Amino acid sequence: MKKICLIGNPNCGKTTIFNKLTGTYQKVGNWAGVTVEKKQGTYLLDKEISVIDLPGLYSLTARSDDERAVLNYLSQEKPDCIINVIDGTNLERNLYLTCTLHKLGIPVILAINFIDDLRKNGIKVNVNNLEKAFKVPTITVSGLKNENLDKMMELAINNDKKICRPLGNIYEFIDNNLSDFISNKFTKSQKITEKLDNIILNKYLAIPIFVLVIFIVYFLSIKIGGLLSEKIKEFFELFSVNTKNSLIKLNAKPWLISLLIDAVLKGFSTVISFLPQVLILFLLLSIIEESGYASRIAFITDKILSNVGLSGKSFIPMMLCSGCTVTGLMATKTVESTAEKRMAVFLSPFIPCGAKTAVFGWLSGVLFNGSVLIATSTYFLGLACIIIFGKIISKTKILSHDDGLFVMEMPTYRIPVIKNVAFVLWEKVKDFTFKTGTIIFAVSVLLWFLSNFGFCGFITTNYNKSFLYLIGNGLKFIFYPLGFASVETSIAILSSFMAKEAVIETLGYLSSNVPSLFSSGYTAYAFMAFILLSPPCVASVATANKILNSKKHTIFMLLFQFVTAYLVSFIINVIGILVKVFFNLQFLIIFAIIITLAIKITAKTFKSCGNGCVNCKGKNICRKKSKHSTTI
Amino acid sequence: MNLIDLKIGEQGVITTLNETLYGIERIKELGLTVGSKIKVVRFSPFNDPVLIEIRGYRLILRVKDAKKIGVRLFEKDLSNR
Repeated sequence: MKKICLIGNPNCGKTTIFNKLTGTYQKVGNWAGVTVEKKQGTYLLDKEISVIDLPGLYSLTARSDDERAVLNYLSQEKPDCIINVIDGTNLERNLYLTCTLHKLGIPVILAINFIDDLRKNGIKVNVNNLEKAFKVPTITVSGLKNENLDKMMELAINNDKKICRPLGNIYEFIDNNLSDFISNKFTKSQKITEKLDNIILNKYLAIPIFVLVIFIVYFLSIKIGGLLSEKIKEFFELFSVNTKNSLIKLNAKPWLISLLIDAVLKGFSTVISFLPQVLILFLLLSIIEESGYASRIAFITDKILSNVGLSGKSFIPMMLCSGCTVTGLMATKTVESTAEKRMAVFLSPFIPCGAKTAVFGWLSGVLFNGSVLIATSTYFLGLACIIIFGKIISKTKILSHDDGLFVMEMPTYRIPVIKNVAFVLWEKVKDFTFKTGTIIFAVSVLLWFLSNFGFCGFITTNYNKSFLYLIGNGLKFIFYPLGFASVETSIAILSSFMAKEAVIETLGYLSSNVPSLFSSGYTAYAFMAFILLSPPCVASVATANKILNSKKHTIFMLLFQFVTAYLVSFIINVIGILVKVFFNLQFLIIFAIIITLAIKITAKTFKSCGNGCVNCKGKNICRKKSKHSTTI
Repeated sequence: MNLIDLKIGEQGVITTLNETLYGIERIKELGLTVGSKIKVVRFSPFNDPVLIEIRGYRLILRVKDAKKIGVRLFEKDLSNR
């Protein structure tokens, strides 16, 4: 079996070519330890040839996880030929990677992509000159229009020529030898991009448009998706009632009925009812990504996120976390700096995910008369915690980093290719159903077992004897300072670690009168805050562990999240007690003023002036900027 | 004169790259080498980062990094003044 690899800069149209070559079938694999995907498929015209799509790279220096993974792969697997896909509208920069390929010692061919676009704009590419300069077969192709792709494969299969090594500095080589066929003429799509950006990135319009886009994404996925979820749940409820009745008629054993209805069917319906939200969210996000708007989002949000030690690249992962923390965490692979990636992994779970949102919706319905304000306030609580606790942990040894370098290519707008979008969507849905779904399913069964069995076997009515009750009873003292120390809430918290939405099931199942579990609105809110900030579900923790690639860091993350949750809930509970004792607002206002002053003072003392002096520890408030910056 | 001193739309030529620039190798790989033409296209709504044009494509840079890239005006623009 021959192996042909596709290599190229990010955004050079590799994936489109890959999908055209392999049809829809592909296997997405991960490298051990890092969450970098390589895609593998068989060539449609010859099943004996496998095509591998590697992550986009700018060079072969192994600076990010993506690059390291590609290098490891190439040195271990030794493919038979590399197809270097080159964006014809951006030859100069794309050829930099080409100039470094000689290091691999693997045969190479060059494929100049987007030839249809170039032709339309009257730009010619001199293939002969390129062939002469690099001494390897070169061909112009169009992934979108399926032009020359089979010819390209034929060249690649029969090629054994290795690329020649450029002399001297690479860009000098490009400038001196290749400049005669590089045209910096703007193509039509670049001109359209310019016009669109004048509106989309306009100083005054950029933020309203951005907010509108985010709003549409949320509205469609949470509202419309939520509506569909409800319908699915209703259907399953009806189905399980009918099944139960027919099982009773069949004289099945009570524990078997319970297992089938309360564990298997319920777990199954939870997984399925999540699908509409996941589907819509990923559809919209992959459109945003494919079209090129994602880079604009990074451009707009970078300044805000840089305050917390993150960059604009972390926005998309964080946004994804509002759908599902697992997918959000997986998206952090696009963040290059390791420290920033860790920060993103530590902090993003504070954004309420779809399941948490459902829990808060339900809790505010049961406890706060369906107050929308309470439910949405959790978003802002999460954001506030990201800013405050992000600042604090960015000072720790594991996460401290000099802001690193933030560079990002701003691609031209492209109309999303339906096949690519559908493909990403299919992958995500499959991923969700099988990976996350199995965990949710397993947890439902486990919970069912723990709550229905005790030392005396199967329990039908007296749940005080179940394993779950014993565990909850043993743990409840931990939550005493937070104001909710009942068995039910401790069990809910325990099961929330398995899957956040389990809080609804557990509380609903264990207690007939949920409001009676909380002494006041404050303790109820403290409980919500704890659910929001405490470590995410097992599936997320497993993903985080994979990305952090270190047990130590994962444990540190869990501790950090637990302490944050505990602290914030404690503060809310204390405020509640204080309000009860003093029962006036004046005191609260003074308290709030003291807290803000304290935060301001500490922030001033520790903030660096932003001049980026080498040894600045921000010790003295650096007011004399000019004087200070000369001491580099 | 550094990159940020260029007016929007003005073309410059890179003269120096400050060695304290973190990730200077990556910057060079992306084509920001001494002698290459560079243009400031626009700033983000919060005035940071900045969008630049280099070697026929566009790149986002933070202002603090852009300040470490020394430029001079491209001659064509100079003669226009």
